[in-house]
Amino acid sequence: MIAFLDAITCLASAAALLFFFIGFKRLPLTKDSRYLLAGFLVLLTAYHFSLFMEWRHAGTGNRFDRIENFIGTLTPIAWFLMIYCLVKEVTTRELHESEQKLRAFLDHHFEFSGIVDPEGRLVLANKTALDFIEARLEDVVGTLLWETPWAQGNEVFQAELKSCFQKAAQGQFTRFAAQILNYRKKQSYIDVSINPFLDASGRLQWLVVEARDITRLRKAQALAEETLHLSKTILFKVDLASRRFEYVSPYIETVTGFPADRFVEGGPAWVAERIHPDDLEKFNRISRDMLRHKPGDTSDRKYQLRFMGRNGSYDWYRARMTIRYSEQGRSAAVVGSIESITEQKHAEKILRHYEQIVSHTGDLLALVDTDCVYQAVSNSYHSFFGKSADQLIGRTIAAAVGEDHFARVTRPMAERCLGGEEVHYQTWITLQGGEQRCLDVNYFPYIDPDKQAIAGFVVSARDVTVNQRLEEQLRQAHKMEAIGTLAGGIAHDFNNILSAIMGYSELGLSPHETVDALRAYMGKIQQAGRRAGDLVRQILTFSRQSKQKIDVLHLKPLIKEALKFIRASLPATIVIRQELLSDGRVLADPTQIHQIVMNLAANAGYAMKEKGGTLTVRVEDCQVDEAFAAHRVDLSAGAYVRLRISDTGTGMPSHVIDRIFDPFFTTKPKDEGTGLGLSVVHGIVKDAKGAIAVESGPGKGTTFDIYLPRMSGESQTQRDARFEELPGGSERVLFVDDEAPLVEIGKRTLEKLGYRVTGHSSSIAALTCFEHRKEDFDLVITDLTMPDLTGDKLAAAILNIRPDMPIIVATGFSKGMSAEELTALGIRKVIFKPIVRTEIAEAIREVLDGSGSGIDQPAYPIGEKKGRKQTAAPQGREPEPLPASTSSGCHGSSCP
Amino acid sequence: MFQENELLMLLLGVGALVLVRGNYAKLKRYEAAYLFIWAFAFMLIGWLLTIFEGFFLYSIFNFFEHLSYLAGTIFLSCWVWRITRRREEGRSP
Repeated sequence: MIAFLDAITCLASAAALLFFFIGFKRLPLTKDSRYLLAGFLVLLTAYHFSLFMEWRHAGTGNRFDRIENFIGTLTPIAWFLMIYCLVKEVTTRELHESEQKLRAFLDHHFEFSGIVDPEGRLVLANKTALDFIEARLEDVVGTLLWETPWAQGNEVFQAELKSCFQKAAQGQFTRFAAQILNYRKKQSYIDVSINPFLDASGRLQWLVVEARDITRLRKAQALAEETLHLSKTILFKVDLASRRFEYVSPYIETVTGFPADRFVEGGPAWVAERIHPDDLEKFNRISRDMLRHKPGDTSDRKYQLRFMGRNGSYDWYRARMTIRYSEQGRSAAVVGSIESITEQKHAEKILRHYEQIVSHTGDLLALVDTDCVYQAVSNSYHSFFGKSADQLIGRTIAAAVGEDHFARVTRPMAERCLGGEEVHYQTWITLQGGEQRCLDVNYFPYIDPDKQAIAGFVVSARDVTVNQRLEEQLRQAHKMEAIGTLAGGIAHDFNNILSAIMGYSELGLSPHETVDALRAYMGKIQQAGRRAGDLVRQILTFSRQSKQKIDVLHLKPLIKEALKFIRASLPATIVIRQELLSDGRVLADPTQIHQIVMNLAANAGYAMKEKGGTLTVRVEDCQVDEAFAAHRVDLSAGAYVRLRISDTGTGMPSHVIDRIFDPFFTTKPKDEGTGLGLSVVHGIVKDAKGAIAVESGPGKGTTFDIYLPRMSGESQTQRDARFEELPGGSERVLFVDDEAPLVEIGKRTLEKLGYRVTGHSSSIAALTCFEHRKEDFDLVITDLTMPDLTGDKLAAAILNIRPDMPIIVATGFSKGMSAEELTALGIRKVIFKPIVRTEIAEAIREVLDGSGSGIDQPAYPIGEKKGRKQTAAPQGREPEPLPASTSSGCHGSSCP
Repeated sequence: MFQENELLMLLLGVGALVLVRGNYAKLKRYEAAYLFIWAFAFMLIGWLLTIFEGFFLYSIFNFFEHLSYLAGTIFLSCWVWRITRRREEGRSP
């Protein structure tokens, strides 16, 4: 049994030996230990084999007993050795691991680390240090520290390293900064320290050398120092206990003239002395407040004060600071920044001045954003609209000008401006009280300086209502002046007409004249009368204080008419040549076309008055191309009618040409000219979107070219003429005029149109008649200027009796009655004398059919009735003035 | 009676036990050290039993002595097998 157990044991030992050999290379043992283990296993196997053999042959003798005893005695020794070996293995492995950790620690340390022996020879260097010089440890181990590649070629560093090493060798910790070159030959800064390592007996064993690359730190420091020097912000630190500056950055010298040290040394009293007296209390209050400050309170403070610099003047500074606390939680120090804000204060002051200027300027100024919402308005702006600034800011322009005006005028102009265009226009607006004012408005795009994009626009408007009215008066005055100039010629024409009338009248009154001859004389008289009528109409047209009546009209007949007029005022030595080649139409006011021709022709006449000459008036179509338009800022390409008026007079030098359109500039003697003529012409042409050019030279005569845009379509007058049919009726009419012949003519004219007419040459009689037969009339037509009872009073009395009675007022000229007054009276229509049959026929139907009031121009006196048809009705129909009559009293139906 | 060499074996084994006890912490850190220690322990028991068999119950103690050797040897074989295997396992990916 024992032998069996020993056999198995022997086999197990052999198995262990087998495992050993099979896994020999994988054994986690050193070479020596492996051999030891092999011996150990062999010994054990031999021992168990001897035991097996001993027990197997127990009965046949005991020759294995001594072998077993011998090997058995060795077995515990083998175990002892094996156990020792394993302990040593573990110890070695741990040492190795420890060394690896240390190596990893050293090699992965970002600082240079190394160990030198007491003689200064390098024993160990970490990877960082070796990488810096691209060397291997073997290359440098054993080299004296100051002869290693780190120090080679740098004598200063070598000397310093040697000196520090000697101090460290005496047990002293040393540290210094140095400049060295790395393997890329780049200058680097390192911070070196040498620390002696002593053994337990205090003997120097090693010296630990450490160095760190501080190149970045040095550069950052240099940059920080440079920034601090260049910075226009002053940094400071104040110790609250002593209230002294601990640090002030050097820039303070640039700002105040005092060096930074002066602040540190000066103490609180020195600083307080230089603070402006008005700010001292604030300074002291803040200082006290800082001392009482506790953690958790808002520690950031900023304030502005004035400080006296070295030059003795006070400048503004702004300080921002925060409190630093001690460990005990008390206010310990204040750190912060100071910056000079003198320039800012100066800018603020200038800004306030500008605000004052803007606030008190007469112009209306506002800033609006892209949605036309007010961002800022001047005092004059909101005052003009009768609102406060708060009522406008944040609202659209519609809040000031009204929704309708905003949508119709402002919005389109604003959109143009927001597109980058500077916009200028004039507009009439109605204020809150109903008052109408004319504004000259400019929109300037507002570029946001940050976004560099249009962020709105600046509105600059000026109330030009007074200027507009003065201009109107000026224009009127000028026309009157022109009338005066032409009076001589007109008188001449009138004398001729009167001569004809008188001559044919005398011939007609002479005896023995046949009926045919008499009819012929009457015809001549009528013709002369018509000429006189034309002449009067032209004078009225020219001198009428009318608002512009812009219409599409033929230029040729207007020019002809004007020339007919001017002919009388020019001496016979001046020949007028007409070259009317164009039938083109233009958009203009006929009166203004008259003015242009009259002014230019009058000037031409003046230039040729001594020697005579030729006045050429040419009208022709003209196509302006881009090339030509490019030379004239006021002309764009397109179709034009060109009116050229040239003379062969004295001409003008260039310096005169430059100024001819200036108002009140004249070369004529004081009593002969006002200098307004060409200025007015220029204004008219500009209004008509046209252009004017002048060419002249001394002795070369003068040529004016006026370009007016050629229009398509036909004028209202033409349309009226084409479609005109005289409307009639059967209503009953009361006709009143203090001139009996006019009553007679009016009565007959209206009767021919089908009306039943009662005529009166006395307004009082007419009123009496109406009082008795108030239901017998459907319409009253009355003259305005009459003795005893004027037309307006008669109208008022009639309306008092029958408020619904339609009344038409006929007048030659009136400057007293306004549209409002006539409307208030209840007058439905105003017509002008001489009464034209077509006009009165239309007026009656208009009033009786209720197609509207004839008083549609509220701003003008009734003498300015808009759009007189006679002025532009030369095509085919002559207006028919009603013939005069000498009859008087009651006409038609009898009155009590 | 026991033989002199058996007493010497026991004394040397106790000496080895002292070594184990003194370096137990380190020894434990070796791979599968518990197998090795158990092997040593059984061997030590065998050495002790061989002394006892000389005084009383010879047959029983002798049997257990040899059984202890067997156990110790098996543990030792396992230890050798383990230290060779462990390294192999450790190398496998």
